[in-house]
Amino acid sequence: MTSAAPRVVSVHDGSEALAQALASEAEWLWVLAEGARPRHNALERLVAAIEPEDAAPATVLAGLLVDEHGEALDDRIQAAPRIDSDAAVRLVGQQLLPIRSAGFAHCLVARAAFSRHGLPDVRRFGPFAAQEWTARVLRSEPGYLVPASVVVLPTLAERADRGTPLLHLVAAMRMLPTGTWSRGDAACTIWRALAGRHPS
Amino acid sequence: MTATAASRVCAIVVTYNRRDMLRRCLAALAAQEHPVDMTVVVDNASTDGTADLVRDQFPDVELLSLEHNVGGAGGFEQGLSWAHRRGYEWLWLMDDDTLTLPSTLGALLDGARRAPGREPLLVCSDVRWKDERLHPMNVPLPRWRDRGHLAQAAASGLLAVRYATFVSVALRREAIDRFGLPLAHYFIWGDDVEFTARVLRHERGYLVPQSRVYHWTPEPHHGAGVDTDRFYYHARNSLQLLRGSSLSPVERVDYGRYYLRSIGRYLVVNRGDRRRLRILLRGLRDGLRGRPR
Repeated sequence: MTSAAPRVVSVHDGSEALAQALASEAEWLWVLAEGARPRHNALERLVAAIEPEDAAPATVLAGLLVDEHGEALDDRIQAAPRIDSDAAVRLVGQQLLPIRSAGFAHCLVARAAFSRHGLPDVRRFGPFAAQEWTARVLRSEPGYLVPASVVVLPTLAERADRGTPLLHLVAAMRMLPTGTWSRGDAACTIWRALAGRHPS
Repeated sequence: MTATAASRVCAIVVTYNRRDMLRRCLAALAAQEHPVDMTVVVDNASTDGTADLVRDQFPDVELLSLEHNVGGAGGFEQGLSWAHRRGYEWLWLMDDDTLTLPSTLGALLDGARRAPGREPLLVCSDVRWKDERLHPMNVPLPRWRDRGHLAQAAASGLLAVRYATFVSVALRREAIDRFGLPLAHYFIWGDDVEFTARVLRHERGYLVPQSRVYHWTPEPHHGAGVDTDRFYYHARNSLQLLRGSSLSPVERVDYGRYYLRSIGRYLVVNRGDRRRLRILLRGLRDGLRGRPR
C-alpha cells in the first residue's frame, strides 16, 4: 500500500481488491495489473497531473505501458486517446494527452468516480470490464494519459485482456447498449474492432 | 551565432498582394533568436508593389518573382525547389499572413532535437489566431492510430502528427530528397495536407507546442469555405488526395467521410444555385482525371 498527498491506495486489478480499497479512506486508487513494475516516480507523475493547467481536473489518469526493453506495448492495451485534436495540442506541452478509455494496468482513479458509476462489470464484460468502465466514466469526465509515468508489464502474450479481434468485436458490441459510447464513438468502436483494434 | 550545417535554415514565404502583411512577416523573421540563414519570398505576380517592398526594405531577402500566380501550391513548390538546390538543411514554410515570435524557430529546432527515436522529417508550430485560440485551419491531425508512438512523443512534450499545414512547418531536406515536392497543380487548398501526409505516411513529424505563430486571417475559418467558387479546388484536390497514396486505406475512409460532409454542406448552402452546382461537378470531374500521385 502506498500513500502520498492526496491520499492514494495502490491495488491490483480485480473486483474484490477494488471493493477492499474502496473501503479505505483514500481519495485515489492506483490500480495496477498483476506483475506490473512501476518505474521511478510513476505514481508521483500521475499525482502531479491530477490538476493540469488550463484544463479540468482529472477523474482517471493512465500511464504508459512498456516491455522489459522500454518499448511501448501493443496499442490494444494502451490508454485510448480522445479524438480531440484541439485538446491534444493544448495539453501536450504539459506532457499530457486526453483519453477516452484505459485498462486497469496502470491507472489512477478518483475514488468518487466509483460512487458515481459503480464498480466495473466483470460478469458482463470479462477482461474488458475496466475499458468499459473507464469509457463510461470518461464519456462525461476528463481523463489524461501521463506518458512520463511508466510501468513495465509482462509481455503482451501473457496478458488476459490481449484478446483476439473476434473477442474485441464481441466486447465492443456488448458495450453498445450500455451508454458507454456516444453515437460517434460507437461507430469508431465497431470500426476499430472490425479492423482488429482494441474496442476503445 | 554561427549556424552549423545541420541547422542551416531557409525560410520560404509565399505571398500574393498582401504587402503590409508581408512586411510584418519579414520583420518578425528578421527578429528570430535563432537566426534564419536565408529568407526567400516567392511573389505570385503581385500587383500591389510587393516586389518593391522586398527590394527596398529587405535587401537581404531573396525575391523569386513569378510571372503568373501559381497559387500557394505552386509558390511553395518553387520556393522549396530553390532552397533545396542551395543545400539548406531545414526548409521553413509559411504564408505571408504568418506572424512568428522571436522564439518560434529556436523552439521548433529544439523540438526536433528532443524527438524520440530517429530524427523527424517535419516539425510544425502551434498556430493561433489573433485572439489566442487555436486556428481551426491549422490544427494538425495527431497520429491517433499509433498510440505507443503518440505517448512516447507526448512524454517529450511533442505531438506526433500525421499531417500539417504550411503555416510554420519546417521540413528537413531529406524529405524532398525522398518524397519530392508539393504538387503545384493543386493551386490552393489541400496541397499541404497531401504533401505532409505523403512525407509522414511512414516517417515521423511533430507539433512543437513551445513554438508558436499567429495566422493573421480576417476570420478564424476552416480551409474549405462552402460559400465560395474556390470550393472547386477542395472538390478536385481532395478527390485526388483520396485516389493517391499519401493516405492509408483506413485514413481514406476517415478523410472520405470528411469530404462527403463538406460536399453535403456545400450543396445545402448553395441550394438552387446552378452555377455553384456546375463548379462542384467540374471539381469532381477534374478530381477523377489523370493518375494521382
